[in-house]
Amino acid sequence: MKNHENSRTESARWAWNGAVGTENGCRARSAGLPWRNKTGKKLIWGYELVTATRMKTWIAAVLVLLFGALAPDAGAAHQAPVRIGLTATFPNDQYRALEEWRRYLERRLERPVEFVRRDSYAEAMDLLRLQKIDFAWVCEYPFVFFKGQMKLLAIPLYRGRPYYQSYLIVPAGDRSTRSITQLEGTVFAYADPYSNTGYLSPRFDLQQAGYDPQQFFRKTIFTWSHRKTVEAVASGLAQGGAVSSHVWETLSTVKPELTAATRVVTTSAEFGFPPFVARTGIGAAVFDDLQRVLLTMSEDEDGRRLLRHLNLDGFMRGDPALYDRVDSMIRSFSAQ
Amino acid sequence: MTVNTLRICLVEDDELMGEALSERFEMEGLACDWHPRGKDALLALQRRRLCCQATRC
Amino acid sequence: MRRWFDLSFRYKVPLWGSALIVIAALAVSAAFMAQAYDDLRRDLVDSSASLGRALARNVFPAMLNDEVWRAFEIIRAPLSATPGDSTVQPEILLALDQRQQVFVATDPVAAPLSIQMSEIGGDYPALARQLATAPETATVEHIGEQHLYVAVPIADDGMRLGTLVVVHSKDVFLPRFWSVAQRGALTGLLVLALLLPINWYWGRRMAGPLVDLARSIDSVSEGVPHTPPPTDYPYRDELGRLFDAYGLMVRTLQDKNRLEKEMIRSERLAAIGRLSAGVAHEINNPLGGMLVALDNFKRRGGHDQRTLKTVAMIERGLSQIRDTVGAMLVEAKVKSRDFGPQDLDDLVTLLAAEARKRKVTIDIDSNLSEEVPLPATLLRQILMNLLLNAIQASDPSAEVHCTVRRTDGAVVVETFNTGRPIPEEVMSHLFEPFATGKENGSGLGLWVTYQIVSQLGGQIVAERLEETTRFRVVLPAGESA
Repeated sequence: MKNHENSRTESARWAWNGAVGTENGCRARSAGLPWRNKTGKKLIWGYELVTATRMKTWIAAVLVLLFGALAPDAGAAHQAPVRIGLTATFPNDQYRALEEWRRYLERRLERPVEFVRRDSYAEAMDLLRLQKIDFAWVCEYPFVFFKGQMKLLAIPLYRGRPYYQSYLIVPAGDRSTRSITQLEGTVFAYADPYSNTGYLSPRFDLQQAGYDPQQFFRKTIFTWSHRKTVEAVASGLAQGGAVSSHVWETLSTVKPELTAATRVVTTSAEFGFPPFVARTGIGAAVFDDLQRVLLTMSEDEDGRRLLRHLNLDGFMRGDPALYDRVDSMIRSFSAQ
Repeated sequence: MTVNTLRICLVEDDELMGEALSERFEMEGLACDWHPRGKDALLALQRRRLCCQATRC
Repeated sequence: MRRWFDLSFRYKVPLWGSALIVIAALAVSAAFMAQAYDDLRRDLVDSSASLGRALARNVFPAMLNDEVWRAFEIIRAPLSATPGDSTVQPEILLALDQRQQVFVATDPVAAPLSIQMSEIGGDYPALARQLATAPETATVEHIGEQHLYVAVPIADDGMRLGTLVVVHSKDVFLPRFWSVAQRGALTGLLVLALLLPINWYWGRRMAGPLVDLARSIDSVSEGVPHTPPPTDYPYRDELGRLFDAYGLMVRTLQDKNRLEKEMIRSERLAAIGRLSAGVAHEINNPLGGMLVALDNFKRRGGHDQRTLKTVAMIERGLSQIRDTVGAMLVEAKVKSRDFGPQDLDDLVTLLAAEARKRKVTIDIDSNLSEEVPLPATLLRQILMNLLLNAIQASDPSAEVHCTVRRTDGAVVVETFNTGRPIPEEVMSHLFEPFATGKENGSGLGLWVTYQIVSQLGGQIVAERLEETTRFRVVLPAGESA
């Protein structure tokens, strides 16, 4: 029991480190999982989840203890942790896989790693610019938008290539819609105002078709997650939505009943995959270390297994030119 | 005392009995006056002195 | 319908009781079920309201920020409970804005975003009207045809953003209601199963004596006063008093009946007595004359044998008539000495021959110590007649018992004999002339006895007791002169 108490204190300290800008009192519940400390915002009904959260606190505490005991280099454990911001660029409720990934990174980097989750890209970008986090996996839209304020670290490979698309989805019951232009006057679900595939791309299409995206839909809602956009469309809350092809395809394997309730109407042109970026003032050693770890992830069995969980094939160094299409889209809107 | 002076006064309302008794007295040699009603007998007794009287009711 | 009311109490009391019990059980069950239904509905409304208030607090910031998806997640949460969960789940939840437009609903297909609630149809227009008139902060409850609506304000710090409506299908608590109702019905049936037999037993027990009583009264009205009903009813309630009264009535009736019979009989006997005395008197006078005349005739003499024989026959016949008539002419006014103890001895002597002939012993038990002021002749005749009868009726070798008791103001004579009982048909005419049950005998003995007793102002009663025949004579007798 004494150990348990200690671990709680430890967890709490970790949580404080990552708890910048959280405004919800429920954070304490998930204190053991730093990358979950914003769950308070998503109040979930019922006791099961509370219990589950408590369980995770436990698991996290035990893992931390184990890790502390097994750490080969005590000195490494006392180094400042590498803080990585995660957003909704992937179906981010695979908590166990994420935890394994974090431990994998810690092992490879030989220093503590913290995942800091944020629902909105804007928040993650803010943390990055405020240097509260060192790295972030964000959408290419903010990367392009805040060009020069962050460095490109690595680009994930999805189906072997650093590209993905925006899917226009409608409820499965809707058999007639063939184009986004047919959804005039409906409720439309966006993921995030800084999302490319979940916001910029469909608006660009409308603009190209000669509509005013501001007036086109009767109502638009932000779900702050591609996965939830799928849910919103599947439940009929929205009559249309735009999602990342990577998220939709991943969901279609892990939660086929959810994607089965939706129908993909159109797919957009290919965009560069959401990149891993680093804050500008990041130390070269850490930057190189993490870049190397990511680029070589596909070379060991653990890494490949984790990549399979993330439905990715690996990472490449990448080139900002991959995102030129987004850049032109942004400019097209700014020009108006 | 002579036979003529000794008479029986019979008072009997039943005709048959009176007659039968009168006949019997006569057979026995006794003089008898038979009166069916007592009132007649009393009147007769006032007129004549009798030595005895017999009544049967 | 009338036929049901004409039924015997034997069935009517249990039937009515059963009907009342069933009605009572039904009424109680109905009240119980209504209460249970109401309670369940109340529970549902209360839990709906508390759920609604809890959700409304969380929906408030989402609504404030126009976060439709967050609000959707919040109100959807209660619906995600696992199947088989015993808690009652709402069917649908709606968050309305200030203009009663749907901000978000758990069923966006049925209630799309931004439409006016009243446009959803069904019970919603009525609910919308009710909400429009309800106070700002009130929880509104609306019962529709198939659903139950509970609306709570989405408000914080006095600012109302809209309304949260929790909709339950009425179906959800029907199964619970039925299980409660079934339990109630089962209890009711148990109570009935217990009460109905008790009622049936009690009803029959109450009705049984009444039915017997009614039957007895019926037979009384038909002129057969039975003894009181054989029911043993020991209680002092109205029924018990009724039985007592009935018993008293029957006994009174019996007494009256017996008295009437007695009176008729003694009237009859008196009439016969007067008639026979008159006839005897009228016969006696000419008879005396004829006998005197015949005597005169014989005394006159000079008759041949045949004539004398004829006359003798006539004389014999006339003598027989005289005896008969003489027997009928009971002369109570004759002067006689008082009856004394020695008369009993004489009687034993007189009866000895007859007793010996029948091998019967006579036992006379007397407490007479001195003479009693009753004519010896008559009392002797009474005793003579009764004892002769007893000897003749008695079984051979049996004993005839006689008691003579001097009491205050009376002499009681009783004779007892075993043997052939007096037949019923003879009994009722026992003291009438020529009512004899014997082959030989004048048929006048008991009649004469009765006449003597009557003239002495006494009573004579004949009774059959088991094997014994008893004659009891009570003669009034003042103090000895």
